[in-house]
Amino acid sequence: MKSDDERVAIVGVGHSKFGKRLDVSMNELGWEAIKPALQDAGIVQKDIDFYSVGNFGYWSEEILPAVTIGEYAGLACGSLKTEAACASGSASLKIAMDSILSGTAKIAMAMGIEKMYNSPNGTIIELIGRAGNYFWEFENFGMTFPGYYALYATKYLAAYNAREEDLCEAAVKAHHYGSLNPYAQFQKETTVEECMKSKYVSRPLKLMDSSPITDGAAAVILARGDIAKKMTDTPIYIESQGTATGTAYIGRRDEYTGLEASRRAADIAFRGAGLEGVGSNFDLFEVHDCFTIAEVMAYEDIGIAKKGEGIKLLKEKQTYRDGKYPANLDGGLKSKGHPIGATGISQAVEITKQLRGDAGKGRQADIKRGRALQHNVGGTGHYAYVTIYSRGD
Amino acid sequence: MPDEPILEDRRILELRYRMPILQIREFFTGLEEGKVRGTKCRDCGKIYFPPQSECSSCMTKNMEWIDFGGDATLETFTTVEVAPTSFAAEGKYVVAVGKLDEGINVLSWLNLNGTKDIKIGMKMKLKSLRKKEGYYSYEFFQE
Ligand SMILES: [Zn+2]
Repeated sequence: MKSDDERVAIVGVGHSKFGKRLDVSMNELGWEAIKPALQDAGIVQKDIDFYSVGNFGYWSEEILPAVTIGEYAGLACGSLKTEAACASGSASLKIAMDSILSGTAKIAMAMGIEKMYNSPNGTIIELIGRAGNYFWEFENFGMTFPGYYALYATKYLAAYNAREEDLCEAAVKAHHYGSLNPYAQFQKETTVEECMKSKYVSRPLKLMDSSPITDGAAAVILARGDIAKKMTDTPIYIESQGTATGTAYIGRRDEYTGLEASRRAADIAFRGAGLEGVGSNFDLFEVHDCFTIAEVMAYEDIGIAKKGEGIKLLKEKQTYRDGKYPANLDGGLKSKGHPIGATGISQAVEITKQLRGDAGKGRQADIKRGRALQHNVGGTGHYAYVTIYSRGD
Repeated sequence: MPDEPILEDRRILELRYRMPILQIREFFTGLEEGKVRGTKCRDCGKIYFPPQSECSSCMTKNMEWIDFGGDATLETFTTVEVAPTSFAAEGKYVVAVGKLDEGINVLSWLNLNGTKDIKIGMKMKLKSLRKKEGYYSYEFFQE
């Protein structure tokens, strides 16, 4: 058992409204997350020793968001921007956590932000498509983000004799919980029929299989365990984090029905938390559902479903709130929105609220074991971060 | 919701990269000669595609070029219906991952010769080709 000063806990969280946010600049959007995080932790800017900002960028004008946001928010301590594609937020969490574990910071802030609507849709599709292996996959073949996950979906559906309707079940669940989350981009239910009727973006994936383009920001305040205990009655500890990097070139993956990097990251996280595996150790999961197929593969990669049985888990509603493995009770990337660099921190915010018992009506999980797991993937299995949180009881 | 006021950027940035290929030049000359190639480490036998000029496991430059036979099996595929801006003129295109008989997976476009019947496991041929714009590429063709 680690002593308190060898642990890191979340002591404050902040989350902006996700969506098309052309009412605010990047700095203003960042402040929308930082301010409530500071207030939640009961601290002011000078209490923070280090901060990190997860951001992918390119589609928004500011190249140094850590600095421009820091200036707006009144932060002057050390900082940096982290990039791990769609897992940039988890990378931000890692850096802030490590700054405390290394002894250089007592209190740190990890935030994530993305301002995607500052560019037109075509540019965004272009930029995310380039984020795989530019030279060998984009230059000649124009790969897109949905295109990559569609390669997985095609293989998965064929290998396990599944249908597009089965994938749509993930969208239905996401929209159900998104409809209950005031911060979500889409706050309305959907149906399998509506999902099936939506246009193909990259076959077999349709618009309703895909997470949207999103502006959003989220922030968490971290403190060394002994300090955290003095700051709040409900510190949420980061028990462990597993990280892994997959190949850039999709041809170098040895299978197309799961993400090997996710499985490695999960194994490391389980071991770090002293767990044998996923078992029945968790009350809640936040999984990276940038596409419906990604949610299904996530179930299998973290071990709550056997290979090929992820769709069965959905069909049986086992990942709904009252199921065996509640997952993405905030609407997930699919319905809450997927502001690339903010997603990892948004998941951490949701887990903190859930473990505190503050998630809100209709979507609060039953917290019995006091433990939750976050699965955050960058690119198409390029980066993988799995983080385990607990109430410490 | 009303349209929010937006300041349209007056400064336009055009990005066009210059990508060095000196170390893998034979790959591109190979395409012009009708061959698709990878590199193979003479020390450990590992085949690299995309080609590498040095074997990162042996830490040696003892590499040779090998021409792929081109016979491949379809692993997975997708039809890209919403293309990036820079591919807008292409219409819909099919991207495939094929496993070469050499055991290497390659991603490229798949030419269907008019048929719509694509099946995982079907036989394909990987070939170099000259694109209408004049540059050389490589694509799968249905057998
Ligand atoms: Zn070698």
